[in-house]
This record gives sequence, C-alpha cells and structure tokens, in this order.
Amino acid sequence: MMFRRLRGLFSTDLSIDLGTANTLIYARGQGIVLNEPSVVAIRYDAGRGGKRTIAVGTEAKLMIGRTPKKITAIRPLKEGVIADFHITAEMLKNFINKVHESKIFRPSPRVLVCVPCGSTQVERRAIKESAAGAGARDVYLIDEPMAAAIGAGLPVEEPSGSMVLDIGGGTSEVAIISLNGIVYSNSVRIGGDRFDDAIVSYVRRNYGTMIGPATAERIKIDIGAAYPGTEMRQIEVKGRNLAEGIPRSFTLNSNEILEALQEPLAGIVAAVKVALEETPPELGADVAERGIVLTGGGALLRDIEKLVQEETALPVVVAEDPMTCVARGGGKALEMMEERGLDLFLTGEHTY
Amino acid sequence: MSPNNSYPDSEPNLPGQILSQSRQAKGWKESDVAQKLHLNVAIIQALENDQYETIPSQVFVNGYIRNYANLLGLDMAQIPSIPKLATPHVIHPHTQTKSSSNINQEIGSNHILIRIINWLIVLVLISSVVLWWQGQFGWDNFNNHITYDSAIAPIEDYPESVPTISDPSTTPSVPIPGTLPSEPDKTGPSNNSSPSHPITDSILAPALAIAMPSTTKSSSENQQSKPSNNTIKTNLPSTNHQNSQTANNQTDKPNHSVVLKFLDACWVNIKDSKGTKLTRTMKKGQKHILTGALPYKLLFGNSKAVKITINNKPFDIQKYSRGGIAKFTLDASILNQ
Repeated sequence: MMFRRLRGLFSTDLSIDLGTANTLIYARGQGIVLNEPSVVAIRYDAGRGGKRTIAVGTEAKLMIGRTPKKITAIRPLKEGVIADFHITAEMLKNFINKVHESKIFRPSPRVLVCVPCGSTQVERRAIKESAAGAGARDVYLIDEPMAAAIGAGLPVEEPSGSMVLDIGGGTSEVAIISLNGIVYSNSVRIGGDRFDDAIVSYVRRNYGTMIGPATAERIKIDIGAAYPGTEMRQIEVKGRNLAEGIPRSFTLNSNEILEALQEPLAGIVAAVKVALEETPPELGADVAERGIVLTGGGALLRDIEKLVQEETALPVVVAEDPMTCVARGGGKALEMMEERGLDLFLTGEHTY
Repeated sequence: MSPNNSYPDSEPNLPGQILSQSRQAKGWKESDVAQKLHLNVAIIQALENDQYETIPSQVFVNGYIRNYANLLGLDMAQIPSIPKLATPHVIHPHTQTKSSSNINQEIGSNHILIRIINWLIVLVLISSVVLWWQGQFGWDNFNNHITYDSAIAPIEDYPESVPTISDPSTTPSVPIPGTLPSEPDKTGPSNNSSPSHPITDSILAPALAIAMPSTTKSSSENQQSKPSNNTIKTNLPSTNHQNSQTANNQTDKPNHSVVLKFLDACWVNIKDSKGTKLTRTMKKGQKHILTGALPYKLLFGNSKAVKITINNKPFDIQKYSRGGIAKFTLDASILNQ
C-alpha cells in the first residue's frame, strides 16, 4: 500500500472512457493521451503457460477477422460492460503503462472510469476491480452522460436542464442534468456496433453476400447517414457471395445504408422521446429552448442531429470533438473533485 | 435586427454577418430560419448580431451556427472562428470557490517542483537503504563462516585464497593466503608459528589437528607431499597421541584439500563415510572446503556451476555429469591421482 502511494507520486491522474469500441485516456494537465480501439489479441500457447497478450489497441484491431487458430482478437467489452474481466484488466494495464513516460516506477495513478448509467452494481464493481487490477491506486466511477455533459461544456452547475445524448459503441445514454446531478437517465444497448451489425445483415439479405464487421464499420464511416440528404455517396466493397462461395465486389450507396440503419436509429430516437416524456416540465422547457447535445462516436454519423431534430422538433447540436467528450469530461470532473474536495459527480458505487 | 439591416461592403469577419447576408440572399426571413432550426427568433437575431451572451453555453453557440450554416448551404470553412464566450453569466456558489482554489490546483501533484522534491526524497531513501544494506552485507559475510553446526564440521565455508593445509609436509601454522608454496621450506617441522588471522583461526581448528600427527614424520617425507597423502588408515598407526579420542578424531580429518567453488546457484548433497551430511542450495560465489572422512559421496544438481580443486589441482567434474547432474564418489585413489 505504501509503495502504491509512493508510485502514485510519479503517476498522473487519469480519466478513462472505457468504451466498447474505443478506449480514451485523458491525463490531467496533458489532455487526451490515448485513443485506441478496445481490442486485445491473445495467443494460446499450451507449452508456455496458456494465454499470452501479443497486441493491444490499434495493432490488435488490425488482426480482427484475420487471425490464425492460435491467435484470437477479442473485444473484452460488450454493450458498455465488461465481458472478459481479466483481458480488460490486461488491456487497461497496457494502456496505463503506455501513457506513463516513466519506466522506473510502475505507475499507480488515481483513475476515474466512466460507466454506462444503466450498468448494474455487478458490472460497475467489475469495472472498478478491473481498473484496480491494472494498477490504479484509487478508482472512481462516473456516469457516462454526466462526463459527456461536462466534456461538451454544458452548464451542468446551473439550475437549468441540459439534455445530453451520448451514442457510444455499445450503448446510447440520454440524460437530463441540472445542478451537478442527473435528474433522469436512460441507457439503451444500441450503439455503433449495432449499426455495423445492421449493415452486415442488410448486405447479406439484399446482396446475398457476407461482409465482416471491419468492412461494415468502414461502410458506415464512409457513406453512412441517418437522414436523407441531397448528396448520394457510393462505396465499392468486397464480400463472400453466399451462393457462389467466392469473393465478389459490389457497390453500396448511402440511401441503402440509411435504410439498413433505420432499426437501431429508431431505438435511439425512442429512448430520447421517453426521456423527454419523463423530464419534469421546468427542465423540459429549458431543454426545449436550448436543445439536445449529441456526444460520442455515434454523433459523427452523418446528419444524425437532423434526424433527432426532426423527430423531436427540438434544436439539436453536436458537441465539438464528440468522441473525446466523455474522457475530457471525466478529467474535468477529477479536477473539480479535487478543487472542492467533494465527489460531486461520482456515482453511488464508488465505495464497496 | 431587421432583415433590411445593411452591412458595409468590407469583407465580413464575424459569423453573424455572413449568416445574415446569406439568409438575405436567399430571401428568407428570420422567422423561417427559426422554424426550420426549432429555435427562437431571438436566438437567430443574437447569432446574426454576434451577441452570444444570451446563449447559455459555447457548445450551443457553435452548434447553432453550424446548423444555421448547414441550412444555408454554407461550408463551415467559410465561417470565421467564433469568438470564445465569456465566463458563464450565472453566479453559482461553486464558482467562487473555484477561483480561490485555482492557486491550489496550479501546484498539484503533477507540478515540476513537487516532482523534483519527490525525486529527492526517493534518492535519499534509496541511498540510506544502500548504506544500511552495506552494513548488513558485512554481517552476512561474517555469519557465513559460523552458520554450520559443529556436528557437520567436515564441510566449512572458507575463503578461496586459503590454500591446502593438511599436507604432511606443512606445519601446524596457519597458512596465510598466497604464502602456501613457500611454506614448507620456511617453516619445516617446527611448530613455532601461530595462527595469524582471527577468523580463519576458528575455521582451521580441525585442520590443525590433522596436521599435527603428520609432523612426527621424518623431515625427509616433508619434501614428498604426494606420497604422504595416504589414506587415513595408514596414518593412523603412526600417530602417538595420548588422547585416543582425539586421535580418532584426527584420523577422520583429511590430509587432502578438496575445495568447492560455486559459479552459480547449485543444489548439493554431500555425505562422508561417517554419515555426516550436507544438503542445501549453494549460492553463487560461495566456496567450501571438504574436511570430512573419506570417501565422500557427492551429488550436484548443477554440475556446470561447480568447480572442484583437489590439492590445488583442478578436478574435472564434467565426466561424471549426466544432464547437468553429477553424482560420484571421491575416495583416496582419486584424491591421490
């Protein structure tokens, strides 16, 4: 314990957005220092003590779908929560070591981890213990929408309602915040991964061709749209034709992807509508006047703000650099916590 | 601001002016834009007048301008950067504490000064640990010599430089490291020299006893070291000691020098003819002299790490080594070779 504190003197406080798709780390006083996919490549080697981590992050993501039998590229988080505890701890340890320059002392930072507001106590505890297992000295948890709101620069301290919609890789969170607290929050397990799955199913159904999740993600980023636009985009992709069994090339356009994404997008819009229904009228009026702020990687989907705007008839804006909002907000929350000596933003699960 | 409000012909340098001009070019009213963007007309006017104080946060200002520009079909690159908003206009109790605590925040745990002080503290701690360790190390060295049980006397820790002592030609005097080759000539059979080293004194006590009987031999034998390295039994009758018990003990003491030197960690199991055993793991750099009764049964777990010297001559252990483990018996015939 004493050594941990000593090592802590040489460690920087970190805010970690442990996302299903990407993990971002914000170091206090330095900004975003790491933004890598939440992927770990494991080699199974019976002769050398079983599992061994061979790559983490971007390097591991390149291996997805391209691995031999002995190697598996794993995404240890599913739908915003930990699916594989040990591999998550291993990945976090690797990332924490990566962001610390000092190699003399093993880092032992204070860590604030952002968790989905819909996660259970068991899931929160798993995240907390995973971070502790990765070498963190103290672990604090914060609700993702709260961190997203702080990161986006919403006036969370004011006695007025701010609505934030954070669309992540595994979950979408919607919350109404006022006076440093969450008044209402809702989490749906729909995110970027579901968009990819929807594209894969659409292509299989309509083209009789199988594409991988990496290709689906590329299609989403390049031509994906959430609202019909004037401009039509096209992309040529290759996949395995199910009838012939050989790779074939074909062209997809943005309207097809829009059609493919209808179901998951409807789920997100429904969650926003439910949140507006549940919002107290005074706060609802504030939201109606100012609008909804979109954060998370999902907010980068083309015209998604238009979709939410048209569906809710409220102004909708996308935050600056939406992908990093949660991590930046966590970092700001750490600073605010230290300034005031209060854990204003932390969830109720920070002690156990 | 009215739609008819005109701007100078100079290049507009604020986003509001560009938005307003584009809107007027399209013939739209402010209320049309407000309806399409689901915003109040007051907010549209504030945006066009570049008066952002009424808008609660920077994120909304940026977002509204981006949405407005998209609606007008403008590229965001054409819009000048939006000036930063002043601090929030709502006075909150927390904001006061924030400003006062900024000083504390500046000198946090990440501050260079704090880091330098931390490093200095750690250096002081490390140096004090090193000093303490050096003190401990001295003790360890000393203790190494006296850790053995007297019942397991045949094997003793011994400094490397201490040479063979049991040659019949040598005197009872304690050999000083490095002086051995000249000793037989200098001292001869006389017993007038005394142990000179306090630590080696205790270690060499059994060896002195061995050397004693052999001094009764003729001086002619002194020149022949090897023939006198007979087995213990052959020496036994020649001894003429008063105390038979002592004599027996003396016969058990060897008239040879077997020095073990460990180049690396090695597990050993050594047994002499009396059944006295030594079983332990030797550390790198340790040296031992076997002083038990012949023959010795030796077993080394890591034969490559062991260097044996018999009567100052290197002994090849590798011929007994199988898979790194060496097991063999050292008897008089080998010792006399």
